Amino acid sequence: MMDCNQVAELAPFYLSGELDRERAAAVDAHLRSCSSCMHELESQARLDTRMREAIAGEPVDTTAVELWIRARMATDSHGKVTAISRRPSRRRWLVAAMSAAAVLLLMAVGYRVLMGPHLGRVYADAALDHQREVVEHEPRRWLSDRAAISALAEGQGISAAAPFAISSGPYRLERARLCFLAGRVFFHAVYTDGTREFSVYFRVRGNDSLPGSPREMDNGLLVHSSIVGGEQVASFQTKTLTVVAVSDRYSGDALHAARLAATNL
Amino acid sequence: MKERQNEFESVALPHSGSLLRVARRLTFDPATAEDLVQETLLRAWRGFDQFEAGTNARAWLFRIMFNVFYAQGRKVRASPLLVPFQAPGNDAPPHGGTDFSLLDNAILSAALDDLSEEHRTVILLAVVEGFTCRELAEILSIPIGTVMSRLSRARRALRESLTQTTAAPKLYRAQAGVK
Repeated sequence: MMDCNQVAELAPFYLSGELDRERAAAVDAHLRSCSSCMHELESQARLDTRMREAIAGEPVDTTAVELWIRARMATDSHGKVTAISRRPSRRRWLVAAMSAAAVLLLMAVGYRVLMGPHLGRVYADAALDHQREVVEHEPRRWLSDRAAISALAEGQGISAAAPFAISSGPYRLERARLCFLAGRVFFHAVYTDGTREFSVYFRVRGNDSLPGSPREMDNGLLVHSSIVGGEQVASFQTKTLTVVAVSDRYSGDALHAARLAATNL
Repeated sequence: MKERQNEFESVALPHSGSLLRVARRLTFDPATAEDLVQETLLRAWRGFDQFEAGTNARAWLFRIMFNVFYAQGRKVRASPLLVPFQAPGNDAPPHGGTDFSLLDNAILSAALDDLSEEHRTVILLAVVEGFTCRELAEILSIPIGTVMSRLSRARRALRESLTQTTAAPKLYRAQAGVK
């Protein structure tokens, strides 16, 4: 049994999926019964994110460095100086991405105010998480090794087969990690067909039911769906799992993903 | 040779921004930071034959940079020129559940700079640059257990610094000629 101090030390590594199975299970068991530790972990995760945004978001000009190394490489090889080309600045992309994220954040906050507390936040959080982490490719620690992904899922009480069951047709499970939605830890899996991506967030089902308007029945499972910001969010619950799918397109990818998940789980 | 150069550029240059960003917070002087990154890239270029294509280029480059950084010793290792000054009578106890998400970038940046070099390094590598503990162990040439405990202490130090910041604003005084 772990105490709160031990959990406080290990919690960030639990979240990044870096703990061995035993310790991960022990931390997880403690978190499920200790809401103050859960809040601490969430607060720490938020601080990590803010720190990353603040520091990694600082503009950095590598022009001089790149010019220098190119020149040195050229003279280092045969004494001949070759032409030096200038690289385009990445700053514009960064600014655009950050403003898009800011807009989405405002929308997410507004959505939260409308939906009220607890799981009402889950769609806003999922949309924001997908936008930042998948669409904008912010630096995150993803697991892409199949065995590690299975272990991570099982550490959350999710059968290892579940995330892989959704890999079908052109889409395959590419990477996964743990994240927070609405104050709860979800297992976040990203599927890709090489060009498009969608996210599916899994969690062992509690007593909460999902908000949103029921759209259709797949295998007897109710599918809720909504549009949040620029993302489509679709979700359903089985006897054991809560599943939220997010895609950044209006073409119905999230609904398709949820349908896929519903038929395969 | 040109092909080798192109290969090196495509492997190494995408990481020059990350390298420079971290270098700036190690040396606290933009010119020295650039020197550090340039030296890093040059050594990487010269050792490029030993680099296995498809392996972790970013960790490889950072490892080189830290080797250079530690080898250069007191010449480049510095403290920030501004030192936080704690105004008397601002000993408000830190309250639980601080919402760090509302802190602005300048405060976060200053808190990071306030940390010891050891703590600042692991926060930069693990939290900002997103390296795993295993990668940190490789980059800093220390055991993974040391990485984890150092990171825990660093996180605690950062939170304490920020909690005090939100409770009482800090004044700054310039510390001249500190290296």
